[in-house]
Amino acid sequence: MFSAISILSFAFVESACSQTDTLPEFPSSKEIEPTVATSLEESNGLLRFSYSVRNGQNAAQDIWIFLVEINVGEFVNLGPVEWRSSNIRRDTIRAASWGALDTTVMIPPGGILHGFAISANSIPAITNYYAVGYSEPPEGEFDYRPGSNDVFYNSVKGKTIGPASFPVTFDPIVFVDTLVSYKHQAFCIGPN
Amino acid sequence: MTRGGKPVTGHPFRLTTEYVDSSGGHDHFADRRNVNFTRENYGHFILTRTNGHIDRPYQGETQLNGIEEFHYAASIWGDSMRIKIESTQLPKLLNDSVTIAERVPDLELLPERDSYVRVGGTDEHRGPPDFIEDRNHYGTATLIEDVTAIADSFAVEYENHRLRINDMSLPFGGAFDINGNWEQDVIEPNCRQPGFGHCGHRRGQNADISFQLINPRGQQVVMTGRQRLLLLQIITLIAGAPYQHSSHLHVQ
Repeated sequence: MFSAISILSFAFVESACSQTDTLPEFPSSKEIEPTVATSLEESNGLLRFSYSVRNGQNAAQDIWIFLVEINVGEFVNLGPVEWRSSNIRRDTIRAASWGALDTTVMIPPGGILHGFAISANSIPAITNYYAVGYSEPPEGEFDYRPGSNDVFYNSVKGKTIGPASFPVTFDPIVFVDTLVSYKHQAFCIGPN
Repeated sequence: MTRGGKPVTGHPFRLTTEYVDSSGGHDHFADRRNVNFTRENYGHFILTRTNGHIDRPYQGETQLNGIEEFHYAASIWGDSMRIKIESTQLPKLLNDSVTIAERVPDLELLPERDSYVRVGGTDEHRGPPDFIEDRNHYGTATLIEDVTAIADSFAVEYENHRLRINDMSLPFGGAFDINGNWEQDVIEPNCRQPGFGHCGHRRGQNADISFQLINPRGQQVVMTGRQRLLLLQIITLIAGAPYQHSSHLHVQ
C-alpha cells in the first residue's frame, strides 16, 4: 500500500509581466511655447518672486498649469484671478503650482498672463519651471508608459528664478562660486 | 510519492486546479469555465524537467525519485485556487490538495472619509452603497494616499461636497469582470472600450472618480464644468493626468 502522495514542490510564477518599455506615452501636454519673465522685490523681509507666463503664437494648446520648483522650507504662492494656487511634492521635488479654474482664463496661443507670485524668506536661485498644455483626457482605457502622464514629465520645462534657502553656513568663496555659476548658467540659457 | 518511506516510480497521477467559490471579492457564481481561456481562468502548470507549459488537468507518472516537479503560473484572477493531485489508480485513497491565494500583495481598503463616498458595489462584487461589505475599493498605499489627497483638495475648494469614488481593485487584485461573467476583462479589446471594461483595475493602481458628486444637501448631482475642470486639475497634479469614460475620470 502506498503511504503518501503529496504536493511536494510548487513554485509560483507570475502569469503576466507587463512590457512597460513598449507602452505608448500618454498624449502630449507639451504643445505649448512658454516663456517666463521673473521680477524680484523685497517686502517685509521676504523676497517676492513675480512671474509672467507667455504662450507662443504657434502653440497648439492653452497653458493651464504652471509650476515653479521650490528649494525653500516655507513659502506662500498667490495667483491670477481664477487660478488656483497650491503646492505639490513628487519624490524630492517640491513645487508651487497654479491651475486655471475655468477654460476662459487659460493662457491661449499668443497670450500672456501676469500675477503668479511666490513669497519666501529666501535668496534667489536658478530653478525649473514647468508649463502644462490643456487637452481633454483621452477616452477609453489604455496602458501608458508609467510616469508619462506626470506633470513633471509631460510638460515643457525651462529655467527661471525662484526662492532657495539660506545656506546653513556662509562660506564667502562658495558663495562667489555660486554667483559665478549662476552667471554661466544665465549666459547659457540666454535671453528668455 | 512514497511507499514505506521510499520513492515510488511510474505511478500515474492527475494534477489539476479548482477555483474556490466567492474568493478574491468575486461574489458571482456564474460558470467561469470558458474553454477559450483555460490558462487565464485556471492557471496552468510548467513541468520543470521539460520547461513545458501544460494546461490543467495534467496526467503523468512519478519520476525515478518519486517526484514530479511543477511551477504553477497563476490565473489572471485574484482569488483562491485549490491545486489537487490524485492517483489515477486509487483516487479516493491517494490524493492531496493545497489552497493558495493568487493576489497582488499589500492592497489596502480605502477607508471611510468625509471628503468622499465609496460607490459602485454590485451583486457580483459587493460594495457600498448597497452592501456593507466593500470589495471594490482596494488599492496600493500610494493610490489610497492619492485618492485621499484628491478628495481633500477638492473639498477645500467646494466645502462639504463629497466625491464619489467608484471601482478601484478587488481585495486580491487581478482581473475585474464588471458584469461577473469572468470574461469582460479578459477579452481584448473589449475591456478597453469606453464605458465597458476594467483592464486598468488589476493591480490596485487605478480608481474611478465619478462626474457626479454629493452636494452639501446630500444630493447626488452632476458636476458643473468648473467642478469637473478642478477635479481634472487636482488629479493631474497629484496622480498624473487621467483618462476618462463617459461617467468618470480614471486615476492611474
